[in-house]
Amino acid sequence: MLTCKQTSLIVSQSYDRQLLWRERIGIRLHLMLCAACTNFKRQMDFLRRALRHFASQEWEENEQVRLSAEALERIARKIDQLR
Amino acid sequence: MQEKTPTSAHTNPESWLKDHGDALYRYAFSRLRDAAQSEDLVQETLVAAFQGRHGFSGRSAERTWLIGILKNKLVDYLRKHAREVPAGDMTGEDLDTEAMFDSSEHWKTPPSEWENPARAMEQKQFWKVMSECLGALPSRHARVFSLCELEGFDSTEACKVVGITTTNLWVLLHRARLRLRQCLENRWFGKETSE
Repeated sequence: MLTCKQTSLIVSQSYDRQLLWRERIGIRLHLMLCAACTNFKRQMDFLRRALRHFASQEWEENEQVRLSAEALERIARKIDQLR
Repeated sequence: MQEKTPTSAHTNPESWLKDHGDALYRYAFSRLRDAAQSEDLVQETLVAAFQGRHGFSGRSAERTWLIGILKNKLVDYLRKHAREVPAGDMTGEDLDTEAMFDSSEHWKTPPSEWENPARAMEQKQFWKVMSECLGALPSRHARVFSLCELEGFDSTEACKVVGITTTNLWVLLHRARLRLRQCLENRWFGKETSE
C-alpha cells in the first residue's frame, strides 16, 4: 500500500507523464481509503485549471504591474541608440 | 476606447514601448516575478523587435508578435540562469516540503476540502494571492514551474532548457505544487474555516 507521501508524488506526476499501470492502481486504491489525499488530488486538478487560466489571460489584468518611469526612460534611450 | 491596430505592414516601432511596454512587462513579471529581470527582458525584446522590425508582416497584431519575441527571450533567460545553480542537491527549500509528512509518511496537516474553488477564480483578489504564492516559490522551483505550468513546455522540452533529468524535474514540480497548495490554503482557502 502506498503512503500519503508516495501517493502525492505520483498524483503530481500524473500531470507530467503517463503513469504506469501499477501506479494508477496504487493511487486509486489509496485514494479510495484516504480523504486527505483525495482532497489533495482535487486541489491539484483545480491548481492545474487555475494556472492555465492565469497563464493565458489573468496575467494581463494585473494593472498595478507596470514599467517604472526609470525603466521606461532607460529602454527608450536604448532604442534611440539603435537608430 | 479604440485600440490602434495596424492594418498593413505600416507599423510604428517608435510607439511600441508606449503601446506595449506595460503589457510585455506584465507578461515577463507573471513568469519571473522579479522587477529588474522583467525590465531587462522587455528591453531585450524591444531591441530585438526594433532590429527585426522589417520582418514584422503586420499580419499578426503587434502585441502578439512582440510577446512571441518575449517568450523566446524568456526561455533563453531561464536556460542561462538554470545552469548557475546545481539542480540535483537537496537544499533547505526541499526540507520544507519533506517536513509536510511525518516519519510514517502521512500528512502532518492533512489537506482539507477547499470551499468553492470555482468561485475563487472569479475574484480579482484570488489572482493576486495566486500571483504572490507563485512569487514565493524558491527560484529553482519557480523556473521549471514557469516553463512547464505557464509556458506549457512538456517535460522533455523543459529538461533540455534547464539541463536536468526528468526525474529531477518531476520532483521539483512536485515540490512547487506542494508549496503552492500550502500557500493557497494558508492565504485563501483556509481563511473561512480556520478562524
